[in-house]
This record gives sequence, structure tokens and C-alpha cells, in this order.
Amino acid sequence: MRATDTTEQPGVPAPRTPETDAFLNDLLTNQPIMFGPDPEIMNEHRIRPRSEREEAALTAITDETELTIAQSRVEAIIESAKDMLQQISAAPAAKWGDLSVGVYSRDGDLSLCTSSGVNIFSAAASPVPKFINRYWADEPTVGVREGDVFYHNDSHYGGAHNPDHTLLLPLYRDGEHIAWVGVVVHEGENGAIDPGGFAPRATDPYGEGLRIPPMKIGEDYTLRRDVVNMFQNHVRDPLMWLIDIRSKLAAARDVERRLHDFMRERSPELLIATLRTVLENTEAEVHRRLAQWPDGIYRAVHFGDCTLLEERLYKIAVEFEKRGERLVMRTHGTAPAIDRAMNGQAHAMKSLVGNEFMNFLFADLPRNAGFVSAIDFELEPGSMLTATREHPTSLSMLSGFYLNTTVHTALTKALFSNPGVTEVIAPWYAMLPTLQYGGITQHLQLTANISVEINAMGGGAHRDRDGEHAAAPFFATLADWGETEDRETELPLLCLWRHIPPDNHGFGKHRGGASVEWAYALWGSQIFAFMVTSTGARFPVTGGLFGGYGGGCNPLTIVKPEGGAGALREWLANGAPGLTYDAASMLADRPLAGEYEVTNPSRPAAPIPEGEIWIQRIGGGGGYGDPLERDPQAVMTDLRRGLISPEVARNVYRITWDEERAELDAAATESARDDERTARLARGKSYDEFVAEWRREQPPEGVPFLGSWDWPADEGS
Amino acid sequence: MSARVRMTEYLEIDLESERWRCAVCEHAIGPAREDYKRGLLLYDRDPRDIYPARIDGELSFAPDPRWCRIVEFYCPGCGTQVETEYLPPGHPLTHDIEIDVDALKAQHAAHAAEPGGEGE
Repeated sequence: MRATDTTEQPGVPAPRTPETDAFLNDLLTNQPIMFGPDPEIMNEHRIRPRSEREEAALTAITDETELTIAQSRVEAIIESAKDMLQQISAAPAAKWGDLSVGVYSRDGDLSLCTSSGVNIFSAAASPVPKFINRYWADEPTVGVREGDVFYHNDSHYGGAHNPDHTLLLPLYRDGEHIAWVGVVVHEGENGAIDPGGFAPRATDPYGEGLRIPPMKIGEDYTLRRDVVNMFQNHVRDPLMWLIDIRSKLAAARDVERRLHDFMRERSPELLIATLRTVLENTEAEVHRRLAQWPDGIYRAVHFGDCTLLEERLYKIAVEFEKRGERLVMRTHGTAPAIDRAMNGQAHAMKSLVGNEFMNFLFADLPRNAGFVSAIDFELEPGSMLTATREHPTSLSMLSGFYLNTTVHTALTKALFSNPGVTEVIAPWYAMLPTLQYGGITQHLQLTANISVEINAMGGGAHRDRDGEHAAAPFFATLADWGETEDRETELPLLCLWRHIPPDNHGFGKHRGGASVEWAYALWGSQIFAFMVTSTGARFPVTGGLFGGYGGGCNPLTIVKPEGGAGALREWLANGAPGLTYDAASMLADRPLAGEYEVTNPSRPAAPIPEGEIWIQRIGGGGGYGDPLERDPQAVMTDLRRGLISPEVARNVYRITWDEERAELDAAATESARDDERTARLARGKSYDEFVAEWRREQPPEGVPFLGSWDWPADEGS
Repeated sequence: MSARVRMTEYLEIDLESERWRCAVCEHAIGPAREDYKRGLLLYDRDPRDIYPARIDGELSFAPDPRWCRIVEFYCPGCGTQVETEYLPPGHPLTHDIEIDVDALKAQHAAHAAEPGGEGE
């Protein structure tokens, strides 16, 4: 018998040994090519179980009064830091309230965030400290130590979308990692294919600019200038990036310093116990309140009409099943994820549901991860709301905002019979027809960002009163939308008007709040691009509630003056004859010679000539209740103020008035309304008769459609 | 004990008869275990009736009726507009409220039995 030849032979694998097995096992399991988003972290929305440290702290601290006072103190600290950050930030959105400051537990759950600002920012960022804990804390080349500064913007690792930037500091006390302090700001410009942070032309995430996974960018509270320089090298506004990374660090350090004071004066145990208690109490309170709602299933659906680069209908559908204290959310039938930047990721969509609870349903509770933790989600995979890592997402609002509308509508119906502290409100306007821009300013500065008219969304009508005009965005109900003069000072813009146009809200017993139409001309720069990325030219963005109507449609109007900026200057110098402060009238009357265009409100960035005018409406909120029940004098007031046209007063509200004296004819109005109710009974069809005529097996010809056309069996007709 | 629970601005459920009723005129709309919309009158509204077109053309500041219709739901008793739904033409209607009537009865009875409840 021949002895075994152990000499290596070319082409013959070496025999396996325990050592080679261990090597291969380590290579395949412990040496990833890179550290991508962790599915377990991204998919888990429950708060982490109590850690041993939290158990010990809760055993040591049992006085509820002490915990409540401590919570208030932490809230005061973060609100103060947010106010400071708002003052020192350079990003336009930050100046008007699109930011948030929060404190996260050591394990990464958002325990408290500012009640003003954007709650969803902090909520959606919870996966970021969890990622750092799991992957970087024990990584010898990274680590987590006191004074470290972490940064992030890639929403596939957490956050709502890439324009939102997160800065995190680990909070230490005597060498122990106690918690995380997080600051999130909508910064905008990211170096994407389009300027300003939103990238409508991106068909994959690689066109969306700088994508920063959770990473350390500084130690000993000092930013690494080479890292920041690398960020700046990617973007169109390096000055804003430099200012705002420093601003966020300053705000986070302010929170950290004051929490150190807190722990020195009281104890680390009290802080740990407070952060844990508020999480658990919030989740328990959400469950308790859910139990008050009637058990059942509640559904809503809405449709967007533009997928950034083309007009298509896309469907966002939700179903909530409520049993006892359990609430399950489903999204079957929703449009699929597509190669447009409007997809949302599941963690961000869950945070949007949390936003609905934090800002509208249970707005009296502290803002934290306990809200979302109380809800069960069965989100359909592969949908526009559950995009994968290979889908672009910088404009996730185009799906997420419609999700907000459907969630709000369905849950308002669920809670109506027992609203408790919740105010019943019709859907808020939720879309972003705001000006976006990039180029060289009149100060010869390179810039790219958004104008903050997005924050002028019209409020939904209330059960007992009208909605507020240009109130605030639904995601930041205490935000502002800034001053025209600031825009004109900083940017090469001339604001021709910001004005409430007629019929720009939902009609009803109580009407929705209207919003503004903005008109900006490029002024003082020859190297500048405008962009708008919105929807709602053919299908209204907002629906109504309980018999009320939704808002109208808002296409984009572009005016190219004949003779360019010089002609516009001359027209204005002559008193702008024929100017009506209204796009529709401009289109009809054409008081300024030139080319007029009306189009859907989604146009990727392109340089425009100086003097070109873009006009766009922000939408109004939904109406509440039957318009025939609206106080006729309130309709007259709306008419006198120009909130509604005579056609709406006559045809929707059915009022009659003396046009010369602008005086209501009460008797004729009552008669007209009775006639309309009688007419409804005459023209209305029974359900079966209506459905037989109405139903189609597929979308109308010539109307591209994304999503399931039918509801699943037994859910609709 | 009141046997009616207000479910929306214009709809209530009569727990004894297990029927949807109009909160304005008390018209019996239909079984509470079924879709209330089955007991209403429906109308396919051209959205341009509600939102005046401001200019000629497809993008007129009014919804495009080829893309969007408004389904109006009326109470057959009093003509109150109970609900509206914005849909593409021919899209299935939404069964928006599906109440667990047995659970609602139990919840109502428990509430009435609480100190200060309606059963006191």
C-alpha cells in the first residue's frame, strides 16, 4: 500500500483541516465585504427589552414624582437645544423648524424628542445608534468612546430620507455609556444628480448623492477636518455643510453638557430610569387608549398622479385592524416600488405612522419610540412603502405623504366614537410643491436647497371649526414658512407674490385651511436652476371627511417673458399692468408678453434664464361635513375674502345673495339647499345599481396605473 | 341606557336593532354588520362641478375627470351628504368601516356599568 502523498499538487485542493475550516468559517461569517444595513435592526420597531442596567436603575428609582420631574427637565434641555440650533443653522429648512433633537436609550430607542420640530426625524433615526452599538462599538478600528462624534444620512440605515442628517454623541458618565444624544436636520443639498437634496432624475440610489452610513467623524468632540472636507467635496454647498455639522455638534454638546449637570446633581440612575420609564409608559398608554376605540377594520385609499418623470396614478392603501388594545396596519394593494426616487422604506413609513399619533391622535404624550412599538405592522413587501436598498428614496414624501393621508383618514374613523383627548380633524394637505434650486447666487456663492413654502400646508377642517390657513406641515405642526425678504436677500429670487388663491381648500360644513400660491422670478443670477417635485395636477392631493370635499388641483405655471429680465423689469417699473396675483388669471389674461406654460408640478432641475417666473400653489386642507350645513354667513365671509369663487358659493354651498350689496338672502338660501337635498335623492342611485354602472375591471384607458386595481375579496365593491 | 353609538359625523349604530342609522334623520340605513354604504344613495360626481376650471385645457386647476371622480354618498332619508370618496373612474369603492358589533355591544355595556356611566 502506498503512503499518502501530502505534497501539494497543482490544481488539487489541499485537504481540509480543523484550521482551514476555522479560517473559512471566520472568512464567511466575520469578515463581511462591508457592513450594510442590518435587516434585523431595520425591521424591528419594538423597543428593546430592559437591559440589566435599566432593571437596576428602575429598582433604585421608584418615586414617580421624581421620574416625572426628571422627564420635564430632559424635555426642557432638548427643547432649548433645538431652539438654539434653529438660530445657528444655515440650512433653510432648519431655520423654519425642520429639525429635531432627541435622547436615545443606551440601546438606541428614542426616549424623548422635541415636541416642536419634526418628530419623525428622531423616530426614524433609532436604527442608527443601534447599528453603531452592534457594529462599531467592538470594532477595533472604530469603537465608541466619550467625545466621539458620529454622523449619518443614508436612509437605508435609518432616517426618513437622505437630505436629513443625523449627528450622534454617546453620553458617558464615569466611563459608563449611559445614552445617546441625537440631532437631526433637514439639510437638503447632498450632491445628488439634481440640486437641493431631492433627486427626481435618480433611477437608483447611486444618483442620490452622498450616502453616509453611520460613521465616526470626530473624537474628543473634535471633527475630523479631512472627513468633513470629503463630505464638502461631494456637494454644491460646502459652506452650509461646514456650518451645519458644527451647529449640530454644538447643539448635541449643549444637551450632553446639561445632562452631565443633571447626572452630577441627581444621578445617572435617575436618567436611565427616566428614559426607560417614558418609553414603557408611552407604549402602555397607547395600548390603553387603543382599547377605547371600537373593534373593527378601517380602510382608506388615495392616489398620487405623478411619478416625478411622468404622469401615472399610483395607489396607497391602508387597512387597520383593531382588536382590544392591538392595532395592526396593512398596506396590501399599494403600488410597487419603482425606479423613481419616491419610494419609502418600511422603517420610515412606520415612523410616519408614529408621527400621526405624536402630532394628531395622542399629541399630549411625550414623543418617543413607544408609539410605534405599540403597533403591529404587516407591510406588503416590494411595495412603494417597503423599498429595498437598491431603490432610490430621496423623495420618499411622494409615497409617505399619501400614506399619512390614508392613515389619518382611516384612524379618524376608528376613533370618532370615543375620541378622548383627540381632536377630530379632516386630512391635512400633504405634498411638497415648493421651489427647489441650485446655482450661483447674487453673492457669487454656490448653493442648492429648497424654499420653505413647503411648511405652508393648509390645515384640515376640525369637527367644530374651520381649518387654519397656511398652517404648518403635518409633520411639524409648530414650524414656520419664513419671510419673503429673507429669500430675496439670500437668493437670486424676486417674489412677485405669496397670496391665497380662491378655491384652494376643501369645502364642507367646516372648510379646510387654504394655502398660498408662490410666484418667484429668477433675479440677479445667470447661472441658476429651478426645480419642483410634486403631484396633484389631475388628482387632488387631499380628500375630505364625512361628506366634506378635498382640496383642488395645483399645476405648475411657468412664464417666460418676451425680452427676458429686462422686459420683466420694465413691466414691474410701469406698475405691472394687469397683474392679478394669481396664476390662473395670469394664464387667462397674459398681462406680460411672453410664453406661458401650465404643466404637472414635477420638473427636474434645469438652468433657466433670468426673469423666468415659476408659479405654484401649496394645497389646502380637507373639508369636514356636508357643505350644505355650512353657516351661510360663513360662506359669505369666505366669498368676500376671496377664499372661494362665486361658482363655489353657488354650486357647492348653495347660497343665494344680492350681488350688488353682497348680502345673503337667507330665505332663498334655505330654499336652494332644500332643493339640492331633494335633487340628491332624485339623482342618487342604490348601491347595487351604482356599482353595476361604475365598476371597471381595469384602469381607464390612457391612464397609467400602479398598484392593485381591486381590493382583495370582501373589502370593497 | 342609550343604545346608539355615534360612529361618524352622520352615522350611528343602534345596538339593539344592530342597524346603521342616519344621525340627522334617524333613517335606518342597513345592518350594522354590513357596509353602511350599501344603504346609501350614490352619485358619480364630475369633479369640475365642485372645483371650477380656471383655464381651458387638461390642467385647468380642476381635477381631470378622466383620472378622478368623486363618489358622493347621500342618506336616502334626508339627502345629507354622509361621505365622499375620490377614486379613479371605475375603481372599487372602499369598505372603510367594518365594525365588530358584538365587541361594540360589550364595550358599550362595560362603559355603561362603570361608575358615572350611563347605566348608573
